Amino acid sequence: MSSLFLFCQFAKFSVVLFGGGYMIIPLLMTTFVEENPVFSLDAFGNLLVLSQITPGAVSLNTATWIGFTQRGIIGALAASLGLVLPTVFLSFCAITVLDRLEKTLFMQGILKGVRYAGVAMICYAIVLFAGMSVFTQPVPWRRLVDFITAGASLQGFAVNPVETVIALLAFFSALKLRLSMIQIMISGALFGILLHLVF
Amino acid sequence: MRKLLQTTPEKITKKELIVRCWVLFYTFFKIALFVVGGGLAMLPVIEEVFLRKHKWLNKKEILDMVILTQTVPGLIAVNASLYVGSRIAGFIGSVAALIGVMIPSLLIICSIAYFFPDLSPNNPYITSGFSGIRAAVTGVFAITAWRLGKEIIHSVWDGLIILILLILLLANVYPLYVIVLSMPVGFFLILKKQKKLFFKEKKHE
Repeated sequence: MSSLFLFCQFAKFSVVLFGGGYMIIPLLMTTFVEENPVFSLDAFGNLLVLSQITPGAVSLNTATWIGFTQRGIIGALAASLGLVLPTVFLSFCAITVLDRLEKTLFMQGILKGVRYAGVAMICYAIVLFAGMSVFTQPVPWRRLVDFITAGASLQGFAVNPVETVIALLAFFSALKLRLSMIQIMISGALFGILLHLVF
Repeated sequence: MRKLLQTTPEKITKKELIVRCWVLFYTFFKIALFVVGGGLAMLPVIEEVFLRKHKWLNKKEILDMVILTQTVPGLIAVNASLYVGSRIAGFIGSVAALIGVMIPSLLIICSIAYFFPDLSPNNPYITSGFSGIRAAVTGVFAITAWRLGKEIIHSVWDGLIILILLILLLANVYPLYVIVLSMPVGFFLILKKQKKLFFKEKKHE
């Protein structure tokens, strides 16, 4: 994977990332696990998780990491600049006309539509991450349909009880206790080690 | 073009400009080095430093910064640093702030990736720790989806649009196309709403 390819890919992603980086996860998954299999699903999951718990902008961390594993320092620079440069250009265009831009029908329409896509993307990210934790393998939709309609076997696809408990705990502790994301993730790691020792 | 680059509100001396650029670089470097949790977690810290401590930005400019992060595509941290930099010290300031945001990521990630290149280790404790965090991330994402959904879904139609987009994603449509597809949908909905308002006004007349 050349540095130029990395730069172009991340530049492409950065143009459609509206209001936050979590939308990038499905894009990265499709590009670097399915289309160009440079990471295994397991390794990629760990990479995403590590970029979340290291300080700094999450997507920038992910981009740097992917670039570094492919082409060393040059690759890391190419990937992170790819993610940043389109934003530099666009925000300089926007700063001067910000007051008017926000009120134009065109921009309002785009922002409204992208908000729907944002919810869909994060739901998809939940499915992807559930396939790496709550279930033993990525959700096999076709076999699942066969299973429900014809009772075919779901070989190798099952629920991990420990991870399910952690995911539910994380959900409810974020809802009720208002813990921060990093506190939840670190307790998730500790719970994971503890519960695997017990069971 | 000249107007574009001169976004500072008042004229400042060269010495002052250098000082401001240094403070911008240093502050954003520190924020990116110590704040965990991405761009959204950085915004309150930026407000604290530049609004309360240095008093270089006012309330309206902080609000504009938030609007910019939601309007212009890209990372929140990058958008915020560019805006704050350009308001405080023009074009050079925003470059200083941007470099400040980017360097910690490069340093931290490259050193971790250099010393621990193996992303799927065999140690059972580390493996179970990782799968614990992945499960926690699943829960955190579910919370984010829940909150976003509550904000956005007002009718059955909103839910239906999101469901269709999700099914497209699950059917392995390239995610970029799904985002691009959602834009005209939003545009159409806004137009429809405008039309309704327009006719209502006419009736009143």
